Amino acid sequence: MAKAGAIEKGMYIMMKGDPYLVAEREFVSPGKGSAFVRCKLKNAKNGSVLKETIKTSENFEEANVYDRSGQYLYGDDSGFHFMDTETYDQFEISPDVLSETGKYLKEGDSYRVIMWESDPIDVVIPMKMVYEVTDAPDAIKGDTVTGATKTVVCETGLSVQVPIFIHTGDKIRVNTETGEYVERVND
Amino acid sequence: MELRKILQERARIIASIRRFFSGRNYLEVETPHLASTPIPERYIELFRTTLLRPDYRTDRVYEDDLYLLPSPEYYLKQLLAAGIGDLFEIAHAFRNYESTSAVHSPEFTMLEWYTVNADSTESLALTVNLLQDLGVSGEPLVLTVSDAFGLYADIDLPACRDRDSLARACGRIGIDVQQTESWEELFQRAFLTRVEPALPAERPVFLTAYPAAISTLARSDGTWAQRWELYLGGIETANCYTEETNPEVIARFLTTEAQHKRQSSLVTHPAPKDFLSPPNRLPECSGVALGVDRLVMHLTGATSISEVISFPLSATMHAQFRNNEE
Repeated sequence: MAKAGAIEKGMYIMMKGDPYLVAEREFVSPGKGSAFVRCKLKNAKNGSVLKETIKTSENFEEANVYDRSGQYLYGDDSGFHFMDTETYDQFEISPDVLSETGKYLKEGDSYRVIMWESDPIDVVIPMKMVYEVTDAPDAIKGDTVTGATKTVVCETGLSVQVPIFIHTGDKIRVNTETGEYVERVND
Repeated sequence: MELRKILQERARIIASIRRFFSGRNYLEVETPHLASTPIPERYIELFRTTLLRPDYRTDRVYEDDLYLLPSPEYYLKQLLAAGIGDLFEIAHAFRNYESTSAVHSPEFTMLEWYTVNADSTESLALTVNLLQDLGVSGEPLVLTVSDAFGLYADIDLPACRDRDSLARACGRIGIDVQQTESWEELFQRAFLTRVEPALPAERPVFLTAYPAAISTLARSDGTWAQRWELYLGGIETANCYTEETNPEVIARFLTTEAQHKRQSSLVTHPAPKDFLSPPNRLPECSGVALGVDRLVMHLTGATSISEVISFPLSATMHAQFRNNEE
């Protein structure tokens, strides 16, 4: 048990029997009140978001999470399928849990999988990743406005807004926190 | 914004504040930052320091505790009681044991002013003028705390006078209520979780009529206090009371707060004796305390208080303090 003042972004904590990822955390102390931490929490089992404010002096329980390395095999209607790179066991993560991250996963790549009890609850992906553009519409003729963008689709099915000079077959770097195009990558 | 620009803007704002109050015949005063018997407030931790008194006859040194004040209220109210009249001070204020955040600094600048024979409604009108004068944009929104709870938290606050009814209302909107939580804790958590984040950020918001259950020196009818808080950009920036002037009520407040401090504070201190009691009774008045750094943040678009302070304590000393944690 630790005091809620020690809660940090990125930590997993227990609430009402479920593990939650701390997505946002800020300290708030009303002028005429005691100190609190205001958190945005994401249920690691079903992805639902909870906003909670906890007194800094209140006890909280950190979720007992551990890592496992998983190679991403493929995704289908039932979820995202991985293989443990040490034991070769296959396991599956539900789309609810990876609602944000799922679209960034590349088949064949290995990722750090966060486990709680015997369940995978999250996959850690790099902040920036490179994708190959598989479908880029031609820029509309005469569209020379500075900063004009178009939507392209990448190898994983990910859609990204890019500048109009990007073509099919190009490689682009994408910020996986915001989903935004960063730059074109030359091999 | 670069430091020089911020400091210029800060100087301009402070000069405007001085002009604003001097032009309305408020006397600018300077009061000490140190006191031996500050006003106890249960949630505010103070800085304690030591006065060394030499006694050359016996070659001894006497040590006396002094405290850095968390606001200039302690001395300003004594000046009001002495009949000085409308006054203001731009003072450094000190608060200990606050977590690092974008809007807190252990040492910060506070503007505090008092208007004699006025109440919190008149202070609100004057504050609207001040904000206009300083160039704060947006039509001010005035909302009672109860209305804000109804609008943003779906809680009928006037119907939740006792702890259990508030606990039920909090539970209904998904707040994880603990058995041990008091009415005030539930109020604060519902407020901080639902109400405060929903306040409009593009215009000044005055939240008025706070529950009297929150212990302050504001005058109250037992249910609601004549008190408001100003939010700029969604951040608590000023606090105002119609000041309690009844010496018995003030004495009761001091006793209660001192009791709380003895039980739960890290830095305890003696409370003032006979504070604002005859012949030093506080005249009817209303006071406003405004965080100048937060105001500067709002007007410059700064996102952290350390951007508007020339030597923020956190940045200069954190590395040094780290060594003490082992």
